[in-house]
Amino acid sequence: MRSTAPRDALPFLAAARRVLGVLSVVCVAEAGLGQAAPFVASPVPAGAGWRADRIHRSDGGVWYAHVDKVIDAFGQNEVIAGDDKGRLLVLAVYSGQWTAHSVVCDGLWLAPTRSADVDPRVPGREIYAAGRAGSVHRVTLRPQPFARFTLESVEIGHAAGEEFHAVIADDLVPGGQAELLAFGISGAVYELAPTGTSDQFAMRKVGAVPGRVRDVAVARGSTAGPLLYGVSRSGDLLAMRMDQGALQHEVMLREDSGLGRIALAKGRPGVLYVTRDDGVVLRIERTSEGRWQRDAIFAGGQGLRGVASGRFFADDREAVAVYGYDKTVHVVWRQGQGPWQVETALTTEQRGHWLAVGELDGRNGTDELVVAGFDGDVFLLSRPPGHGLPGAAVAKAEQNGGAMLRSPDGLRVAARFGPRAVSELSSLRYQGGFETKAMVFETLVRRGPDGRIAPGLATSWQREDDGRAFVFTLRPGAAWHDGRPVAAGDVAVHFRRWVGLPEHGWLRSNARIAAVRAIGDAKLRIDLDRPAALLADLCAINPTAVMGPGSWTREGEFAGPVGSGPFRLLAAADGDRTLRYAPVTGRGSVELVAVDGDPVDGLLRGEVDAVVSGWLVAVDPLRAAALRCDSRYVVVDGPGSSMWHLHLRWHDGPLADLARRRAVAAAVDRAELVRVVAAGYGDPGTGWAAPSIIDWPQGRMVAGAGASFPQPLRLDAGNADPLLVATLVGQFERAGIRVELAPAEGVWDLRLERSHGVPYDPFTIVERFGRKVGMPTAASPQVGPVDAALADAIDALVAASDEATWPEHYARIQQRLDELLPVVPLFAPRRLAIVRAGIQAPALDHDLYRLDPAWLRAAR
Amino acid sequence: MNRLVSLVRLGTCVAAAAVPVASSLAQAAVEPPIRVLLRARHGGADRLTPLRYIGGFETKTLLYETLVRRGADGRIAPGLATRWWFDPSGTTCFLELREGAQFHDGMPVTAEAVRVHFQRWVGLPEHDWLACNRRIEGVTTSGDRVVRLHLTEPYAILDDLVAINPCAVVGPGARDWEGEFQRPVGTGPFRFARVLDGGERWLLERAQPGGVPIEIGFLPRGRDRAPVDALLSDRADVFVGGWEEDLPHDALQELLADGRFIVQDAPGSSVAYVSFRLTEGPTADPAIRRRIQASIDRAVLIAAVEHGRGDATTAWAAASVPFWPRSAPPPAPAPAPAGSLPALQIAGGAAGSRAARIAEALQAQLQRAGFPVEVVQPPAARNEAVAASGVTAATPEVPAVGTVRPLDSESGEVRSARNRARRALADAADLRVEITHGVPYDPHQSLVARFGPARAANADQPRPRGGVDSRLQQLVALAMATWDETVRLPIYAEIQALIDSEALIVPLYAPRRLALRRKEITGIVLPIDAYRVDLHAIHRAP
Repeated sequence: MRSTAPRDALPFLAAARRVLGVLSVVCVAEAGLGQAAPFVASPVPAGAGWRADRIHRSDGGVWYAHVDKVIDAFGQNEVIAGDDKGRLLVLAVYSGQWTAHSVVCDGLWLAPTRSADVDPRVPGREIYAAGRAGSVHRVTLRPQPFARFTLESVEIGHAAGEEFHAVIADDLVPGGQAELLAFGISGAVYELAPTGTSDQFAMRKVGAVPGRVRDVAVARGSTAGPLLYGVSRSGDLLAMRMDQGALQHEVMLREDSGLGRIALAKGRPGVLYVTRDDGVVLRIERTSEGRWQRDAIFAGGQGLRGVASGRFFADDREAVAVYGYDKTVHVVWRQGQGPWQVETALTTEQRGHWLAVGELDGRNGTDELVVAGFDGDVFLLSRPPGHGLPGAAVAKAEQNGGAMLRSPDGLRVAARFGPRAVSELSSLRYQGGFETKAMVFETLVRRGPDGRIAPGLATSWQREDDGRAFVFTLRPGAAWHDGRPVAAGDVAVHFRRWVGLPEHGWLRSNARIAAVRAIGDAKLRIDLDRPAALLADLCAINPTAVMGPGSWTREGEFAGPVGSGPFRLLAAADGDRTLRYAPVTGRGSVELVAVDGDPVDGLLRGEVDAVVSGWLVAVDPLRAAALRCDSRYVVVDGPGSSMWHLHLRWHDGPLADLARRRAVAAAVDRAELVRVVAAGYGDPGTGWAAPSIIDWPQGRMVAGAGASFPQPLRLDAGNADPLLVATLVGQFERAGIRVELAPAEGVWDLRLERSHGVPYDPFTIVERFGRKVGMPTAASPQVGPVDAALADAIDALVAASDEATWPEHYARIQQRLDELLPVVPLFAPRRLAIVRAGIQAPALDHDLYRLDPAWLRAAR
Repeated sequence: MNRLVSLVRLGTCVAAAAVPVASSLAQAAVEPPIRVLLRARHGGADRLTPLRYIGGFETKTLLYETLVRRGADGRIAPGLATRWWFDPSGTTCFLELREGAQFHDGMPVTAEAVRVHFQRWVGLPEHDWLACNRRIEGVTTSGDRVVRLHLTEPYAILDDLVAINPCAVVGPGARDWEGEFQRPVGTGPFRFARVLDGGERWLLERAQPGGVPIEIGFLPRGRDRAPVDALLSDRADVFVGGWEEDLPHDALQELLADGRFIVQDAPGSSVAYVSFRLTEGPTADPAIRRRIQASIDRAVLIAAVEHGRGDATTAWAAASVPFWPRSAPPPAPAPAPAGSLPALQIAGGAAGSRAARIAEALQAQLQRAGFPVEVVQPPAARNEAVAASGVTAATPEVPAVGTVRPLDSESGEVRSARNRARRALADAADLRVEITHGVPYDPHQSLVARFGPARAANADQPRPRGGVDSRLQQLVALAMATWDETVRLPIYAEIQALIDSEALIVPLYAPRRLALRRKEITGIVLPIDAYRVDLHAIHRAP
């Protein structure tokens, strides 16, 4: 069997060097496959401190790859690869353009060797390949006119019924030509040696090893000749040596999982890395006593299929990269003898099959990785220019790794979260941001756009036992991000992790929940010691958003965020300043980017594509208004739910007089506040809750009654915008009410506060005016005595298990607020989003703690 | 919604934590701390809580207390609770807290604080290895000093409450108001002062005034000479071995040869024993088991494996647990005709481990008694080139753990997989060498885990597939349902008698506990509780 290229030609590497060295690099692909157009490396998203470029795309999986010097006329190394369509590929790069040369040997998948001089009849080195067909091929380069060359293959051996998963061409016996070994699926090992004067090779069985050898590494340095280390699907790690024409082997290690790949540690003689099919990476080291020590250094996803050791850091730390069915290239490293760490270098959409390492980009001081897998994508994974080259200046265009590395299709949205967000992405902790968690986790119920309770992870719920129990029906087909189905027992365990703990006492239901248990897989029952407005509390992301069992290790350590929400966390990048998510359905990715300072500045700097206001992300309405005229951006708004309130010290001091409180209320011009302070982006409100919460009634408008104010009122402005303070003070002065700022921590008569908004509003009234339980906290400040009538009304709300009755309680509370006037509601700033022109703008609802998943999926 | 305010609170906590630092520095100027090395997985001070399975047992028992513990005779003894009783149905356990007890931050120990601690772990799957985890259906309080544990059925819960993880009580001051762990706050004899060397070592001060502080450093677990090297190179003053300590003899000899050091030992409570495949093969025959039992010379075994540092036992519990009933070993059977005995396979541990050495020593003894014996070892050690260094066992089926927490050889997943691999091997052998966890888990917890009714969905329990004698299992179940240790004694006696008469297992010996120290450091007490070291009297002799 031979390729479609002429059989009688004997192209060879040295000839190619002589010809190609002076001519253009434009080459044609192997005949029959059409022209090999230069492939401009296209960037794809990569982990922090890495850049990734797609350098080839095949129409079948690319199973093997090596970085090697094939075409001597080219300074840079090439990539040798084999794909599912039986092509042997040589990927050559020139000024960032990659060209794939290929030859189809027998039409079935191939495992190629590195180049080696096995055949003395061919000047220079050759490449060999063998695979599914049981045939072994020699591949050479044949020069063609006009600086072109073709790859040519010739079948040099065949073993009926065999399949070759590993082929080695190397100098395995000191002296003479290199040797060629093919490892068969049966365990037989064949050597092919040239014989005669033509293309003939003698093929003979030289050994038999346990299991199917899938990868072989050649170690030098021994006086007895190179040692081959092989790994097999049967779980054997083999040490092999050619000795007197036979391959001797010894089983070094036998694992209870298939072994997939093997790599020698770069710069560390006597150290090997081996991948297990169950996702474990083993480090095997020969100790000074000559024994082998085995350590598990990494547990990744099942189906590890690539391992490569190289210099991946500017310093000399030990590092190894792995890739596999979890679609992620992890770099596992340690400093000295410290603990092993792992970082994500790349997440692909394909399952991984092979990693190769070598020098392919001289702009850094580190090694590159070639990443190949099931969808036929081949990526070059490298450090950014200048990395590991101390003192080297880097062109500005190459400096902004973020810009280069950013996803061409992944939306980047500004967010607020701390430097340890990845380890804090747990709803059981009050750290790590809100949007970041709401992407991943779901609450059983949430508040809909009208402010009423709406389905979340539960699609329906029933009150039972006169409001002393709720039974939730979970969404049919709901699954955790690790693929496991959401079971009611999982949800019960999540509740077990927070119910009854004091840090969650701010949720009144926490003290009411007596038991949480699963009723079958689909229903969850929550028993209360007495009726309570449980549903309102279950909208809180922390701690009620449900975490899957995969979030925890068997020892209860946080392993990672595994939820049932619309997005799953892919990786953290850019020093954990970027969190990359993938939609559970569909493709692509979305990034939440922690932006320093004003997020609008981040947008203008190009760090993000969109800013969306929320509880933690503030968008200055004046800047939004200004950007409405900028064609590069689109500004949209939606209802807000966080109300600015002016609290009045109703129980003592000058405002203990209701007439004065009424005068203060009457002095407020909400329309002006909205116009001046919010540039029109606000909804005036007279009720405790924002107008978007349709069940909460607006309050009575108050007319002034000629009260006198002998002394100035003391205003605690809190963290309110100075413009709001100044405008409000101006309004009071117009009404003849003098106001001065209260000293810090001093007594105040007026205080500006902002409610937390949906999903916590309107129940924020409970903490603010209800009877206190437990110690006051910053979230539930003790700001004065409790008005009994108001507190009674709030107690009734808290005990109202039927949400249909809540509007009645809302009305009773608002009525008492109107009578007592402990607070003057001002306005709810509207939600704002600013996006780059060309990107779909979101439709904003009033939930300040989550981003619209439909928009995130669609806006890419 | 609490995120912003939490920053303020965090600052407050850090400031509060700084207070003991000043005092420890002042004290350090007077006398430098005594440097104590322990074996542990060093997880950082921010994880030094009994609610997490990391950080070392001895460290935690220095800082925290369980409600009850096992005393010098191995029986349940007062801990943070001084008195306990059950209701007549045996389903409510009342524990009265020590009067005047205080957490290290000065807060009084209240029943509510203990209730909240239990609330943090009861019912969570990671603690299912404790049978009580699924039997506690509620924790309530009665006044300030009485904690009530409500059980689903009568159960010997006190024997579970001795477990350091997760039962040792953490004070509410260990967390901020958002529930974040800030610092270890317990009621133990030492209190946490601060981290040293960027977190590599921890400074512990006496909870009561007086005495020199100690500086805790860590060594990974395993059989190596690292403790000896640390002492010889003056990187530590004391090393205290843990429950599985297995220091190489030659390293100990080297230390002893240096006149500056002392090797201190004390009775241990962790028992090495032989168990059998009861369901099939030659050891299904009680006569064969009895013959094996009679063939073992414990003194020779201890000399061969431990160089004499062990105490023989013929009972389930070590000799250091005197309340456990013992009976005289059965008479030796008559010699068997040559060639009449069946071939046996013994499963030991990884090459070089204590279990493997015992297996090899047993092989010699059994061969002398006429049994053809083969020792099988875990797959990783099948080839001699892959020698044991403590972590050589295979680790199959390790699940993905994501990128948040890097895995090391002592991570739970890896250890679990390693144990499963060993067990799979052991299940196929006729004889297995096993070692109990020692006090406080011995004698009761170990008995329950090994021979009690199987618990669902707990892959880590060493349940032998080779079978458990059904009579033994019933007796253990009865013991589990009997909370009163005194009432349980006859059951224990019956258990021991059954073990003896049927030769269900052959107890061998308990390795002795070890501490290495500089001569001038005295006052170290090694109790039979293998997870505890008493350092309240430690000091430098003038």
